[in-house]
Amino acid sequence: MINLAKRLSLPVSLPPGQTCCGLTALQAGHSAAALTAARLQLRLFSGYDVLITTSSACRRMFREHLPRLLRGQPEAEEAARLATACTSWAKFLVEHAGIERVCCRFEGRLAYFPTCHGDDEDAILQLLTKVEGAELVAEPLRQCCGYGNNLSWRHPQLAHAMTTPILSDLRLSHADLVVTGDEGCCIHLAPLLERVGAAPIVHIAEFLADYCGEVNGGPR
Amino acid sequence: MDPADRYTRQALAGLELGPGRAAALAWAETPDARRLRRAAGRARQKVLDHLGAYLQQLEQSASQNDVQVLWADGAQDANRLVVQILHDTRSKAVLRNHSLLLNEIALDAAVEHNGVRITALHPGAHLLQLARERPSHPVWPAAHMRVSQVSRTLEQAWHIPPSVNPAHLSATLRAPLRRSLLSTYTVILGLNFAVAESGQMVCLDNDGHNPSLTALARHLICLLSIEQVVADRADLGLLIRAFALGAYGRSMPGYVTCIDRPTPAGVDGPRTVHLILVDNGRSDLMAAGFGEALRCIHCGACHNVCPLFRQVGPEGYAPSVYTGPIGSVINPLLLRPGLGEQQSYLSTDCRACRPVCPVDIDLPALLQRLRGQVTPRAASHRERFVFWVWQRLLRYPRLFFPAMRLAHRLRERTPVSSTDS
Repeated sequence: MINLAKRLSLPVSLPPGQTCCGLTALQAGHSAAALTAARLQLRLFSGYDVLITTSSACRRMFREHLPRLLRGQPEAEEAARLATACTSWAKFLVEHAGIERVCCRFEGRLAYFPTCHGDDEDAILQLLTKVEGAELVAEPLRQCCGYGNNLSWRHPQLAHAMTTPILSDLRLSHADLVVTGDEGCCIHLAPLLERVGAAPIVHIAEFLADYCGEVNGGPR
Repeated sequence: MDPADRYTRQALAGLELGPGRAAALAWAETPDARRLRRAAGRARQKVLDHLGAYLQQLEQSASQNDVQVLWADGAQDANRLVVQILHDTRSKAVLRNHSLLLNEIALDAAVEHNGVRITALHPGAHLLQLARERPSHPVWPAAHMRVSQVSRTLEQAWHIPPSVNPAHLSATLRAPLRRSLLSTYTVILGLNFAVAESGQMVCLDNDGHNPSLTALARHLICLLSIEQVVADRADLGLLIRAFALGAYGRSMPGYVTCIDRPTPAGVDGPRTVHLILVDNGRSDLMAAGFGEALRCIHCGACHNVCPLFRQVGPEGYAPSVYTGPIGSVINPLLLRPGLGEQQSYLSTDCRACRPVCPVDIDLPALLQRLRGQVTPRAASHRERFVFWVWQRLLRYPRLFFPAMRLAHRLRERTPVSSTDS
């Protein structure tokens, strides 16, 4: 993502010291730990106009949970600012960088795996339909992969069972590559897809970086 | 926690293709869907906000209709009242409808313990009586059973030859129910709603077992979970519509059964009508700040779309009869402390249940808040330690990521049963 951003001449940086947005602790009910993480985020990203995350769940943390957690605290204003500044890579590309500047080429069938927290589905689909040489698999199966809310850690058997219909759907779609908008889904599904001999899964940011041939024009 | 067996999982997956799909289509065709949901949610919340007053009004209007109103604090109180009425009416056999409230208070066991035979007229509920299982779904109680399991249940209970023909099994199951309908005069009903303004008591269903029950009953014992009181007829109309859309994907349920009052001699209908108002932990649940969950009208819409429910199956929510996303919210609060707490973690925060709720309950937010309360008292030492370390490592990316990878690898090494895809 950083590489592609640089090729698009976007002033991008990866602030050092990043670890976790804290959603995992918040979902597990460890509110104090989540608050520690939240405060760290604010400090890390306070100087930036746009905040791009590759996980739609983290984005929900920034957009919804952070302002709520820090309501009435001195950091409330900053949390509210970050909530509006947070966006997805795909959405940012479509809305600000200019979709026509990214030319991707992929020979084969592409499947899109919808994520539960995906607020950037339209943007991802716009990017994918524009890919040259690719055929997009219609009507993806909409179901949670089972990774979220620490389920894959708390009840791995259940989380694995939840992937069953997804794995068969992706296998039957005869896709050559599965693209999704959340890192969590990738982590959870990648080894299982490999085990059943289905197509590999990549994040949209990874896909764009790998298959983007040329970058047109200058920055807007 | 282990997933349910693959038959249960396959059977429950059918919920999404059947009622789930029907509901989605019906909502899409409802022009005022958004407003209807909001209005239904408000109608429920209004009652919950002033529950005491509405219950008093209900008691008054029902009493004016010559309905005898009784109050039950817990399940045992409710059962004791029912048994007393059965004794007074010299009933040796009773019929009941399908209602989760009756399952919740374990009415069958209490009634049978006192030598009275109790039969559920709803085929699915009756099947569960024979199989001695808990319902898995509020509207389709035997949704988790496949044809082979139905056949096996009937084979074991009645020694009839096995069959793979659903129509045949259904007919076999219904025949004795019809006979008992004609010979039983006492009926116990778990109500969907009762109207505070008029004292009207309402049951909803799609197979007609409720109107059959009320048509022939001499003595009617109605049980209402206290939160299911409805302010007036306008709200009742709204909620019936919301229920039908959520449960069946239709704008009206197949049957709406209304009971007003006992009928005088010479007219068909029940001679005596009792109304038992059951609390059984609802007041405590509201006091704990989770009243929003009690808006639930038990239509099963969230069950039909929950990808986790269909993997866990009903056993994941034991010993409660409330399953699915709504079960994970109310069970930790309704069950004895320590029994249902782990159920609040039965969620992937995928939010599939959020848009389908006809009474606009924010189940993901409620679950999130509930876990915030459950974790401090119920988390294991191991989990506390993990998050303690996690919190300490947040400032040190060089340690954080290797530690996370290590934790991931350790977790991967725990044996996971193969998924049958």
